Amino acid sequence: MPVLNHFWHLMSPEWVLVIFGTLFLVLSAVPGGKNLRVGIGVLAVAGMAVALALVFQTLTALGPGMKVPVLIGLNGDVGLVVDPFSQILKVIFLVGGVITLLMSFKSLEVEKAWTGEYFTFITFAIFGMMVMASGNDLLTLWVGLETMALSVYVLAAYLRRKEHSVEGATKYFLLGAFSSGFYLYGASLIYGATGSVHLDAIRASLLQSVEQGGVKSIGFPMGAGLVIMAVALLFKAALVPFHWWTPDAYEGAITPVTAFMSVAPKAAAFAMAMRIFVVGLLPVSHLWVGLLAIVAILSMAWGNIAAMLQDNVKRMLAYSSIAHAGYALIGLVATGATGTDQGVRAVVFYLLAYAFMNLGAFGLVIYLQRDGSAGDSFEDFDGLVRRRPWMAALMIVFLLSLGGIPPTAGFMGKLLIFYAAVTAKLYLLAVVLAVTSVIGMYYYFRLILHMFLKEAETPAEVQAGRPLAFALSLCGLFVLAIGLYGQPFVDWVSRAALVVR
Amino acid sequence: MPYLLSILTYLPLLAAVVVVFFPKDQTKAIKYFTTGFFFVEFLLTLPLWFGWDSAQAAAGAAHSMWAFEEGPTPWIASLGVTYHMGIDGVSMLLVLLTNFLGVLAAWSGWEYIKTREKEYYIWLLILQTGMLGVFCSLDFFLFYVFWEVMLVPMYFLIGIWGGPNKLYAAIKFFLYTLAGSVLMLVGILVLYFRTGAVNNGVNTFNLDVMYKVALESGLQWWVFGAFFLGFAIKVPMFPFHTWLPDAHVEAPTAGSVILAGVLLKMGTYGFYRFALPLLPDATLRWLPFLMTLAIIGVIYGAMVSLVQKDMKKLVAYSSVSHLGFCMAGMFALTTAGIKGSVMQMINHGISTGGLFLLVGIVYERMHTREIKLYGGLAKLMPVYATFFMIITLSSIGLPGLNGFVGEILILLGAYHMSAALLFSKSLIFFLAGGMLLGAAYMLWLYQRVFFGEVTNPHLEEHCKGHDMKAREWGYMIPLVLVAFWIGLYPKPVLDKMDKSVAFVISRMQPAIQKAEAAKGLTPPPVTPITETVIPPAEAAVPPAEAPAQAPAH
Repeated sequence: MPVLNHFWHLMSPEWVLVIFGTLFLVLSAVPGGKNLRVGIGVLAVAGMAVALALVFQTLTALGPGMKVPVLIGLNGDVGLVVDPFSQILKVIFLVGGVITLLMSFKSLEVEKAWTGEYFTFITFAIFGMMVMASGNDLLTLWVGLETMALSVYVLAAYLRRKEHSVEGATKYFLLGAFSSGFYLYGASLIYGATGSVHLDAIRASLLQSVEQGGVKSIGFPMGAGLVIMAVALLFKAALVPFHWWTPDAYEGAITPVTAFMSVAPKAAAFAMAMRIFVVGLLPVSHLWVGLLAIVAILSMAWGNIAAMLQDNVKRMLAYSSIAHAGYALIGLVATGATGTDQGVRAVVFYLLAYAFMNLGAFGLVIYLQRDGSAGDSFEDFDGLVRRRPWMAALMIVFLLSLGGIPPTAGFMGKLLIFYAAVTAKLYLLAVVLAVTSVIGMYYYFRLILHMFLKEAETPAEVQAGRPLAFALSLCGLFVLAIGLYGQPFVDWVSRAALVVR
Repeated sequence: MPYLLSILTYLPLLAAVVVVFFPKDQTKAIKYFTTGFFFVEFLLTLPLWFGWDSAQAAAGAAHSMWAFEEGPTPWIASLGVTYHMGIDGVSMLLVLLTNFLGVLAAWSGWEYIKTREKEYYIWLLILQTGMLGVFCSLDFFLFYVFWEVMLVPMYFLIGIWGGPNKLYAAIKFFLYTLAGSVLMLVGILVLYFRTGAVNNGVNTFNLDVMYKVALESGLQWWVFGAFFLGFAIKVPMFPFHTWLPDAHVEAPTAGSVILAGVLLKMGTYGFYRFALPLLPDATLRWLPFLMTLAIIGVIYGAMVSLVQKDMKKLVAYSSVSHLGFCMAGMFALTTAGIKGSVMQMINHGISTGGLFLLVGIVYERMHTREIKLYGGLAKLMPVYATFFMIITLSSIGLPGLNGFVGEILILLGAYHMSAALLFSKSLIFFLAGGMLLGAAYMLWLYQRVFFGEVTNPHLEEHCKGHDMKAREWGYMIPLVLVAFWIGLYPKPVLDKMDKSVAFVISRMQPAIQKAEAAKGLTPPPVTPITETVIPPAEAAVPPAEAPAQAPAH
């Protein structure tokens, strides 16, 4: 029977989310007019803002490299920890959540699909992610993963009367359920090989066997378990060859949910992968470095090539998100290859930068959404600069950032990944990253071309609304701030990277 | 003035922000404001030229090679990124050239650009910031930021206001240059990770520190390869030149002027500033390859120019040839060669910039650049024909005009090239051949366009009585004046780069001496090289001056 220790207040952001999520569930059962529904939305933003503030508060209380056990089993094993790594990732999830909610208002209004459950599921999904960032044993992590995944399945199918929404969500659900099974199977094999599900114990056991019998002594069950478990995580992060669900699910879902899926669950999957691979399985990094390197190369190459061929902006951004996950994975490979924290720093920084720029890009799609059109065809962007120059300027910032052109957040993120790759002497990965990001620029420029060089035949009237405008400006501001003065952000993220030690 | 370089660099950006707030239909105000601004910006550049000697003396007193130095101030301290600006003689000349051409480019677009003027001038201003930043940065990170930023406005200049095939040309330009520079970034990082050893364990992008790094020869080769891709695409060297004709032909006149006048120089500047002094061993190892490409560029560019049917395309290919000269001069690795190369960069900016402007003038009247539709233009537009003649002669290097100074210095440099290097004996012949071809295509172009009878009735209709307008006079006169000035009295220009070129040579000298020793050659006795004093600097100047006086009378 696990118990909470006296550090339970460090979990306060999670409690806040659970309370708010449950509250929305109750409130949405109450019959009420539009005001109630809008009220729930505002309350959801407020709840996340409170959680965000609490995360920041705990983050400042934590010293560098401090790791506070929060949930402890009877045998003394730690189930949940709070450390700078977990808290910084929680910031990314929550920021992603807040921006998503701000962007949702318009979409829900246009689709006439405003319900309380929507906010419940986003809140619960983020709760699950936070557990994934904090989990310290394979089972706790799994509980977090499932909490997140089940919520996101529902969100993906949110427009349940639309055929392709249901289709995408069904694919996502079926494959996701499989991947969960894979995860558990892999975890059980690792448990068999090391005698524990706790990451610290797994690490100790692996270190011991490496010390006694060299790397050869790591048996087949360990290797097999590791690979099988990796499949599940790669699936959640949407990496090639486990990416097939991504474009359909992304295209079918309501756009703010797509934006959310491409940022937060991906970041959570990376958080969990970093926990497991870097905290637990670093002693056997030779077993997974090569595997992840190949996945990274495949993702960068296929993600970018496939994105070039898309005729729908959401699908294009879906494939581009696969490529970006590939970029970030290089950081993890670098840490595996060298055992230093630079790789993890690069991943976390990239996730942060990616959150702002990708949410921004999807935000523009939401901006163009109107009655009867999702605003996700390239033609919807035609001549945007003539109609709304500021919106076009914002989109250019987001797209250049996604393409990795300075002075934007995306460039700083890529620089840190290059940095990690060159330190780890992973020159091949660095070169593939360089070449594929040039391919990436091609399709981002296709969108820029539509905005700047084409004229709209019948320009549609679109409105932003205050929350969306605010969210977009916030994204643009951060993309530029991180790009122009990266110093504080790099330092901040470096604290998270201490998880390696 | 403190922070002069930063002011110069960011002022155009500020002006762009101001233009944003102009109403869209106030095109006249936008034109006047932007062109006026460019003129002010040019005036602000003049202190660099006139205050050069004192600035350099001050820098020397502070044990720095950079005049008007700012920083290094930490920018992203945890990554070793600093804000470090400063110029040496070469970059000073290029900054001057950039702002000089900026005025002319802005002015030349007044009538050519008839749509979306506001956006046009905004992009032109942002482009200026990017270009100036590239020449002033002394931190490799900062350099890279400007280097990339500059691509975006150029993309729009070509893509929005270009010719019929503009979309293809714009994206090709962008992706080509981006591909080179991203790989260059990997090379920069390799170098960066070695700076810790000479900087108390702290890695930095600061160029001053990077100059102290001695990379092992094997790694140098790879890093040079990465730099080569970044810079050679920009130059462009054969076989990476294919983006250039597309971009030039499609770009609006001002875009072509900036592209030829300044953007191409960034590639050669990159070699001069980074590749040579940072990687001297690799330079020698890559030299045979580079030299071959440069020679192919010279000859191939000239031969392709010969067969062009479109005037602008002809001028574009002539750029490939001229830039081949620059590269050959630089990789002769002698003082005269590098000076000639820099001189040629400036001359190319003036003469090719001038040619693009001239082609633009006649295009505005005829809306075609097809050579065979012209003929006998000298009768209809005598003043225009005169201007075209002067610029043509400057381009082919007639003594007394600017082109000659650069070419003769490059030939001298090739003559003095160390015997240990490949092509040391033969380079001069290839270059002379290229010069002959250069004269051939330019004069043939002139003959076809200006001489003979007027066969095309449209020509008579559109050009007769429509000789150069006041505005066109206005932007051509400065170019012609500068062409004569450099042609007749190049000494002040050449003197400005003495110290800077000497530095690069002093970096290269150990590698060259090693190569000579390996081949059993003794270094020539006339050039005793020490760290600071480089005698051949003076030797190169007089021959350039002596013939320069001849055509004046």
